[in-house]
Amino acid sequence: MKQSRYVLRRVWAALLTTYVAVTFNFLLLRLMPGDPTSRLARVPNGTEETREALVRQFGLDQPLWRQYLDYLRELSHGNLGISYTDQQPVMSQLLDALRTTVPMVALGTVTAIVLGLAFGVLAAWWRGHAVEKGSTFISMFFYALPTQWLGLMLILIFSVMLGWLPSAGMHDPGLTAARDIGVSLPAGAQLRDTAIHLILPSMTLALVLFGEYTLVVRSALLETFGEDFVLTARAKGLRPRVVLLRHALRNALLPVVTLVALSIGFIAGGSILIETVFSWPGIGLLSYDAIQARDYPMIQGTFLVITVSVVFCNLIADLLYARLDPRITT
Amino acid sequence: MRNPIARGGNMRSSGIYKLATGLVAGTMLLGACSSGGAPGGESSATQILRIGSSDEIDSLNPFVGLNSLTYSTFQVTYPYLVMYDDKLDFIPYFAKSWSTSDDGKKWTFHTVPGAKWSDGQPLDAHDVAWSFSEMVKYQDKGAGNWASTVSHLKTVTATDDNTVVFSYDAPVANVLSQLQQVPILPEQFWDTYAETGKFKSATMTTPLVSGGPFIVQSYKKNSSATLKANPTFWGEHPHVAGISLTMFNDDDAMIAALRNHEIDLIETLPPSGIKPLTQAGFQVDQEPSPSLSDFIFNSNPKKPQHRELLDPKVREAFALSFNLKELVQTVWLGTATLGNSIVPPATGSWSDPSLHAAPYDPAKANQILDGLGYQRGPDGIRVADGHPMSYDIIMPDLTEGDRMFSMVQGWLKAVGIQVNQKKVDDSTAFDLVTAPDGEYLDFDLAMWTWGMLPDPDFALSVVLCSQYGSWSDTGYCNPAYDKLYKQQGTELDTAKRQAIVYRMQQILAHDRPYIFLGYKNQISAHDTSWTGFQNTMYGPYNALAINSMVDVHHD
Repeated sequence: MKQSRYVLRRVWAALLTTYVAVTFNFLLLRLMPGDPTSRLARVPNGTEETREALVRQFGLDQPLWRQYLDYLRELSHGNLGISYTDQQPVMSQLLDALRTTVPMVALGTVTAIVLGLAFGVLAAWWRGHAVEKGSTFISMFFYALPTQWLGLMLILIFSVMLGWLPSAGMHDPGLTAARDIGVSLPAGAQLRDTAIHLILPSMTLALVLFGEYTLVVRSALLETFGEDFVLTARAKGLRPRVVLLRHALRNALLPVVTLVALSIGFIAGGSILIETVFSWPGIGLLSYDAIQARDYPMIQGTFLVITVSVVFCNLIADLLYARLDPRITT
Repeated sequence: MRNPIARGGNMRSSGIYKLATGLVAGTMLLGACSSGGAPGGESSATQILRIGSSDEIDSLNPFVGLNSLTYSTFQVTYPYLVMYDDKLDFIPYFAKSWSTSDDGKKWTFHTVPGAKWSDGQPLDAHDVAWSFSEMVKYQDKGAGNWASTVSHLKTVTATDDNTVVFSYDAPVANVLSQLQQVPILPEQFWDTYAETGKFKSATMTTPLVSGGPFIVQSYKKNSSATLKANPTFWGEHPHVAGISLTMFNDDDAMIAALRNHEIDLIETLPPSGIKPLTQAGFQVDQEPSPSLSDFIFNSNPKKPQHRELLDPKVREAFALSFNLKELVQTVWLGTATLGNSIVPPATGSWSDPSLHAAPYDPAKANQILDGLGYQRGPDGIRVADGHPMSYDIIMPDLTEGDRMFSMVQGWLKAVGIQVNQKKVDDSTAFDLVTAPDGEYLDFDLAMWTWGMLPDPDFALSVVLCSQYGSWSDTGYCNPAYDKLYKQQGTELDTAKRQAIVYRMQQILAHDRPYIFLGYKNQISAHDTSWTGFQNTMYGPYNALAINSMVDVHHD
């Protein structure tokens, strides 16, 4: 009973959070300086009438409350509107960008989690040792590097100097063009090509992210090592590896769950810096361009995807937490 | 940037995508090229030129797209009546020849007979008439992007399959320049939208119907596009089987891609790429371009505050304090030229050669300001009319903007003027410059860039009174200047028009709504195994002509 009430409460809170975020996004955009029509109306010999026609076309001449109600009505029908800049549906462009972003950011995030776990466990297990210093130093070193700079350095090393990996984009331009103009490619060529192009951006993301996991895992483990049940496990004569993996680590992972859920939530948001350096046409770049152009429907769409994704993953984390540690539902 | 058209393991090592060498089966490609490849066919059928660009194709819809790369892509995928040669003279393209009536109001074009669109439909004078008629009809609505190219155009009529007549309500000085910019569109695709004029909402599904040397075969926003040689093209066929366009968001990554032989050509290279690419054995080319950087004074005479900035003497002092030669060396590594006209020298004889940038003379600048009675306060900042000469400079997103600002700040400090950077994005900058509500009353100074066209009409138009709230970024309004603008627009005698155009540039040089900081060179770089590029003021992949992409081939 308590459990189901807890679930309902969390779901309700998630819905409310989404609504508030959607409203806030709507208002925030309109409070920003800059006008969505200013760039579009600046065609040679464009006039004030050109601009006024765009204002009418986009419905920006309506009172704010009406624009807001229209937006909510369309949203409730699953319609995210038409982009101001290219006049195409926002939804299809968002789905395209998500298909591009999610594999890259997901691979980077999962790699970061695995690396973070490994380095965190090493640092905690070898506390006070050179291993701890080394793993913490490496984690913090990459964590402190500017993402864009690290990406460029990896391009310099792996693309320019070694020639092992492509420098940017999702596909080899020649291969893509050959396919597009009708050449049949060997089986798996495109998949291989995409996989090779995924490596550098994903690894850049993993390197800048894993330090955070290392620290959380390390401190959670150290805390757990001091618990009585770990002492009991050791006193029972269990092998150190068993103590670590079966007793200490499983309990230490509770705070990590939240962090992982949050990170997964942000996968849909992409990474503007990495997408910029590697010319990865994902949702980060889409939202950046939309903000620059004050393309309200597109910004609202990208923010909505990020909001829903983060709120949903948080909800999952809350529910998972309740399952892992029923005490929190009381 | 304010810009009206603004204007291929080691399969990559040779810079050519060797499809016929066994990596992939080349049968379909060879099949496609047997009808559409270069005359003579041979190995050219396997050539795919891979272009990298820091610009992007913002839309494939000619009624929506605004970027340079978009217009360059239209140039090679749609027919145009005329195009430019390398001296910026007009040469025949889909129009084989043309003539003008004595009063300059009627233009007759004779088009290429027997041409076809890529879908097999006939391409003739009726398509020309239909395209322009729709643009005239909807110039205030869905065809707004093309409004300036059809100004004064009343009717366009196809008198037979190969003759089309343009009738204007007044003589227009730059008809060919206007028509050169406008793609002829396939009626069979667009007529669905013609009833309502909602051309902007068209869904551009690839492959697009093409009437140029290439067909847009695929497109991914913010990422890439593939152009395939058009087998039904009615003109000289390209040597390459296709072009791949990759859009980069980071210049350094794009340079790395060329060095790594992932692409063959960088159509616009930043100056910092010249040295590493030259050293690595790539061919780097430069041409003067019509892209300029400027320092802006709010020139609205109704401006309520800091009115000393309206004084031409104060503006002269600003100009004398600027060490522009140092700016060119530091910011553009010497790849820019100096001048003093809104009409860039790259446009040739339309730019008044008698106008030169002010010399660097801070002593004289100080003398002028002293002479105006603007004495330095205890902090070294001059006081004008009771307030310190301290101003904000609105700075939109500019490449090298920070460096340019810090140099300007240092030079002005030396003459007792303090400036602060107000760094914003383009949309906000436009709002701040035009505030409040398009009246140009609030701002003092700004820095921005312009990308101009070969014909001077557009450059001269950006300071018209009628451009308040639109292209104007100076608040400049001078009825005498506006009158000259109208005159040059209808003057059919080139020498007389040139004289008016020079007079207008001289007025601007005197009133100084702008200090022109420099005219950047257009720089491109390519793998030396490719030849046939024609470098132009917009680079080898451009919106001026198709020659470069038709002639280019791998050795």
